[in-house]
Amino acid sequence: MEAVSTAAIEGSAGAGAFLDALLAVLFSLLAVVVVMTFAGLSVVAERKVCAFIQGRYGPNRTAIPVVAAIPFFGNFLKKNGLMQLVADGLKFLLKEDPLPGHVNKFWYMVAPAMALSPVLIVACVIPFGVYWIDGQIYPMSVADIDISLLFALAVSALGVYGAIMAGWSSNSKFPYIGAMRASAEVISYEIAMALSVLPVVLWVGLSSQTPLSLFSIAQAQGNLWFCITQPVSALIFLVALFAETNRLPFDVAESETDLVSGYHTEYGSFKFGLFFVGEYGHIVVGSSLFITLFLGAWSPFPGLSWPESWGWISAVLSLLTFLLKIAAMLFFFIWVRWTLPRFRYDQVMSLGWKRLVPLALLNFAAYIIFMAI
Amino acid sequence: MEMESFIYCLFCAMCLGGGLGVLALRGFVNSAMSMLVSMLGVAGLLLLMRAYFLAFIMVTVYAGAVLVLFVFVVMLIGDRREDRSFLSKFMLLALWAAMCACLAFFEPQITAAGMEASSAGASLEPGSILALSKNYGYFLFTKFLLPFEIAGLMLLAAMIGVIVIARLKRAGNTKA
Repeated sequence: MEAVSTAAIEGSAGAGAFLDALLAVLFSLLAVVVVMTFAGLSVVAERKVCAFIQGRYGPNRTAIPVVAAIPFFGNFLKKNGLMQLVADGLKFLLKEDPLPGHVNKFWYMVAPAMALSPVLIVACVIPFGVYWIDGQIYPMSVADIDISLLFALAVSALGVYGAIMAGWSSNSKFPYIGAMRASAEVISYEIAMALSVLPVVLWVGLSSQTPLSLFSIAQAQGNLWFCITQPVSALIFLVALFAETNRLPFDVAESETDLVSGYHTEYGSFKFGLFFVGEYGHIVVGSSLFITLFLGAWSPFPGLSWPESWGWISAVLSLLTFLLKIAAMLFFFIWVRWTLPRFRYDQVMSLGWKRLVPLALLNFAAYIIFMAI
Repeated sequence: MEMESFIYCLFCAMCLGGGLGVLALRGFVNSAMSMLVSMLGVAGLLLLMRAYFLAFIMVTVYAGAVLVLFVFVVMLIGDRREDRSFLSKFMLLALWAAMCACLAFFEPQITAAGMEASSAGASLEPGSILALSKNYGYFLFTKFLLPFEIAGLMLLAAMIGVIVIARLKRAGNTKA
């Protein structure tokens, strides 16, 4: 009797361990695939949406011989510029990899990896959806840690070293100026970003034991999204996000008009490709953070969430909701880029220090008082 | 070797190697990057001690902000490659070696003391003092309030000092 029960327990433990391992592998793949796919697709989307805004067609000529011959599907890929994506990717891979003679070789080689790796690390903690096992709710993230919000902010802050080291090691004037601008910009806006998140953490702390976990923040938005209850925080976080990801109107670090191409001027071929992917990956991860913090994560509408009783269908729907929201955020990023002109460097600095930081502090104080009452 | 002790050795190597790099490498930026490696190593050690909150605060504040500021200032004034004399290099290396020796000598005792303290006090499982950031904040603002406030006061003093020095310089410039 005892032997049977231990065997049964071992069996179930074995199955549980197998399931855990399977889910871990699945979520790791999910994190990488989501970030990389969206980074790739956003390159195409950027060109297509920009063309749409400017009243053009955008890329619709590139065709891969055999695939383009498939009826309907091939034409669909061609017209929507998806084959352009493949062509661009191959171009990065197949071009000659130049190594200028005047650069600091070690840091020149390491910098692209320093730009991309933090993005992929942060993707570990983002809950892309939820699933249920035995009535317990779990997040679809590689690592569900108590302080994943802090982890995400800390690691994504390290991404700026890629830009700094690229600019410095290039040993050339424009990249150098770009690197300095990038470091100054990131320091300034990081403060506003962290301050804007604090009220959210406090709010979640009223009901949850682990207010610094992205999962509990997402769960706390079951009734109302935080962009409704904390609009000022959401606005500051969004502006700081644009600055942190070096997007227009804040892309002073690589403004084509005055710095050629900023910190990656001296880069070409696949090293430039890594910066490119890192930049778009940063946007994807930043959007996911914004969605988790303010846009209700995987809930389709404010006040609604996918019911537990639907089981795995609900889990898939939650994932799809999250991905749809990322796509919407990417569209928003591109929309802003092709609508607003670039700020001057001094305007960026004064907006960060003289407006956003005081506003974030006031907002924080107001919420402390509100919650105390 | 156990996985955890392997990772421990890795982080220790990062700390010490980074420290060595700060002293031995030429150029300020190389030194700053070595310092980054060292800081990440310290954060990793804190993680191994289950002080998650402290580890990520370390990365956010020091690696993510303070060191970026260092690099910014270094780049602003230019990365002068100073050639240190052989004697000063030797002294710095000797200092590094002495620190390593101290660490190697005291490390077992510190670890043993830590183990004792942890077995006497809270457990090392999640939910202990440092694992939960909430408890961490609670202790920071109750038992350790005075040191916390003193540290804040010192930073404030440093800030006022910088502002005064900067203003003096500017006033002098306009007169001249």
